[in-house]
Amino acid sequence: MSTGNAVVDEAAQSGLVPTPPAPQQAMRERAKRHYRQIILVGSFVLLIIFFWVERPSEFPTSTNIQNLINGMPVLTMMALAVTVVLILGEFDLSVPNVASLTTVVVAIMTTQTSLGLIPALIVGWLLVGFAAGSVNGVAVGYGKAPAFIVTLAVGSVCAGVELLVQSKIRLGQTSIPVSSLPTALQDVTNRHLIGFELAVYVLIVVALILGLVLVHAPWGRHVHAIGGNETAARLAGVPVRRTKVTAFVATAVLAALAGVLFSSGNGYFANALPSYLLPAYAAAFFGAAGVGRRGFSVPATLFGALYLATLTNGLSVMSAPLWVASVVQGIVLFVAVLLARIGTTS
Amino acid sequence: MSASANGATLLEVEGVSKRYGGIQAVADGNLLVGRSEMIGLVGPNGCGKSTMLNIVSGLVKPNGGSVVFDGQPLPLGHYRNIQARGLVLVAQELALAPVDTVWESVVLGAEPRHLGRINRRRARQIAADTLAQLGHELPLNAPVGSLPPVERRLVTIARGAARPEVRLLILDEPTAGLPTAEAARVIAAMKKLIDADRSVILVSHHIEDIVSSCSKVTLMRDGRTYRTLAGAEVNKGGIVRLLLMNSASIPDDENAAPESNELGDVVATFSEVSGEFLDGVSLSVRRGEVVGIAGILGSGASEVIQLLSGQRQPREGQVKVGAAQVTPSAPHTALRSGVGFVSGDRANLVIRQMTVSEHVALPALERLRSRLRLVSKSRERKWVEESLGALSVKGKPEAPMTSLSGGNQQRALMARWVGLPVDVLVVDQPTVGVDLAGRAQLLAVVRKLAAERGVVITAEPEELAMVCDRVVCLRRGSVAAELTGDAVTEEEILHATS
Repeated sequence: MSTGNAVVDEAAQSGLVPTPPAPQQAMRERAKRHYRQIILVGSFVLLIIFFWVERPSEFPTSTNIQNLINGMPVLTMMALAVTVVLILGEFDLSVPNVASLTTVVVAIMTTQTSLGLIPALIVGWLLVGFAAGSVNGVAVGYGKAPAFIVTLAVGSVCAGVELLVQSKIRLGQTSIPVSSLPTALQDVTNRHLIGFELAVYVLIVVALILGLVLVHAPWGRHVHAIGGNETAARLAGVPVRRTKVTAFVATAVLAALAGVLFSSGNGYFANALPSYLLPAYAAAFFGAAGVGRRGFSVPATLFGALYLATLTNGLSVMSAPLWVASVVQGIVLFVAVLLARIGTTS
Repeated sequence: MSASANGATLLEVEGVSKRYGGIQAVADGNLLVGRSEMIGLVGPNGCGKSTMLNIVSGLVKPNGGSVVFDGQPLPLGHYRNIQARGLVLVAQELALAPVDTVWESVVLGAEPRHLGRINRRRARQIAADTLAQLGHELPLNAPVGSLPPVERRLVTIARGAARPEVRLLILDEPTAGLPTAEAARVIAAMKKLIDADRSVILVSHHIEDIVSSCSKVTLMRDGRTYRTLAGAEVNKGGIVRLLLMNSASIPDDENAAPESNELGDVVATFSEVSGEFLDGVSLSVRRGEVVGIAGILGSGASEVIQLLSGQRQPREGQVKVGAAQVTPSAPHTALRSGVGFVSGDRANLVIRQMTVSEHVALPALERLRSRLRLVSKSRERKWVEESLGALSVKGKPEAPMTSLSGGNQQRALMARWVGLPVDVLVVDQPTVGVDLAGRAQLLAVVRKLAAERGVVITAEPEELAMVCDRVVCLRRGSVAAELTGDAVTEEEILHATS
């Protein structure tokens, strides 16, 4: 007996069909959502006022604001990467490892090949992004494997390959020591424009394009539909498997771009990025909980990343001990997600 | 023969009712079951049978009414407590875990224990004894998933029968989807239960099965049990006549009545198709006609729908759709070859958080692109308004889909296909959960859509009779009758399918 058959029949027999919420209920829901947004945006303003009042000579200075913003692109890019798969209703745990692997690949491409700097960056970026993304996407879309585990495995492989490549360089099989890798790159990124690093502008452009594509391109609408109800999307004629593959590729390409931004700002460090995994998801979830009218979105993630970065920056300006920063961030995230649940259930 | 006449009543259900939100699932349910008696419960889909059984077995707490079992009122809504008193609902085979062995499945929930561990030897013995009592011998250590469907049904029945305290078993469609010979094995097993001094409530769309095994039949419609037949009254003709008498609940709408269109080219064909339920079925659909696929649960009617829309593949034979006669391999390729799909199972069609407009435009997004390959807002608005207008769907396009009534949601989902080059529209149980007035409008829409394409539809017999030019009646996987013209009546359909 097919399950679909049984489900229809059960619904039919019990008279248990999804009852649409009454208009008043929709209104109340909308009010609740606004209330949630008011709380989170309000708390953001209060946060800024608090740091401002506490450290008037350090927090609101242009240097500090530049520091705050210039520190955001890598993490925010990863948060945007995970936003794509979150909208799809999936997870991608390989994001920071893909970014990490990109840093080493980019380091080699820029120093060991005869490609120019920019072509080398682009080739390294797309190579890693497409490779990791297609493996994830094909396994999840066509192989029907659980994304959680597949991406964990791919992440592990990426981490291993990174170590391999890095050890080869250290062993002297190539002529360039790790320590001298960044110099070529830093030329690119040390260019500032009104106090902000080039990476910030890359982030803004990418966020704009991604936001537009996710909301207005057929592909983005398909991603939303699959995340909302995969069966419904399939029955409406959405190419579900293909869209899953492209969504995972998009995520990995964005993750790899985060790696490019990192190495262009910092050079190469072994294993520099895996610790970004949870903060990236935190920014996406926090944003969706706080401002996302319909769950995950690019603006929501940007807000989440900005909120969390401001919090971290303020706490460090106030010289709060590390443990305080960690606890406060945890509490803020906890409360935000709880608020969001209260807003959506009932 | 009627045991209740001897005063040996086992179960007495009086005036139970249950309301879900705005839907009165059961309005007035009454049932009388004697000791060692098998009674049948019959009624169309959505009449409240399942809810009533869920009330009696304690899965659902009713809003009113009483249930007396063995002289004592039952603690309604307490499933485990009721089960301990000896009343058990035998779930359909879906409730079996395919990797569990036969003996594990039979004793599940009532495992014999020894020092806190399952006493395997006794458990196997119990399973073997129970199956023997039902007249069957199954390999006790085989995983349930490896058994043929009929034996899986027997395992579920044995699970209920394995408990010595159980005196009443409720069986929900135990023969659905089984060929006649195998259904007979299940019925024989049920009769063995009666011999073992147990009682049975049998729910089935197979009226012949009911007639061959039950001494009493209670009929249900629109949440009410309106008639109980006993003795010689229990025969197929009488039951079908009574089921028909209380129908005519849909207001007549002249728009829904078939006015024969010009028939065009063939837009869908089945040649000798076999699959999970289907067994060598052939049929064809032409542009301009509404073809109904009638059949009860397990007859293969929903398989026809799934094959047409590319949700599954035939085991043998060929399915061709569209003007180009292609084989649908997946829903999105079926769409490209000219198949549109609408289902009454809106849990699988409505996407939370998405607006009406987004739902309607979803299959057409690629056609609505403008420069930059983004979806053009203005073209989308125009497309959605025209589509909704063509089927006169009320409701703002920018409102969330969930804010619409069931009937309007359904028509909005049909509107999706209006502007697309769809040769054949597959409509599966569109009226599920739609109120009476909405049903007539919905059927009118189906007629309208058939003007330029072929429509294949499954629905209740009453509705098929209203909307179809032709009805293919399936029974246990094969075409039992193909009704056309004046023969398309609810009665003919019921006769051919049950």
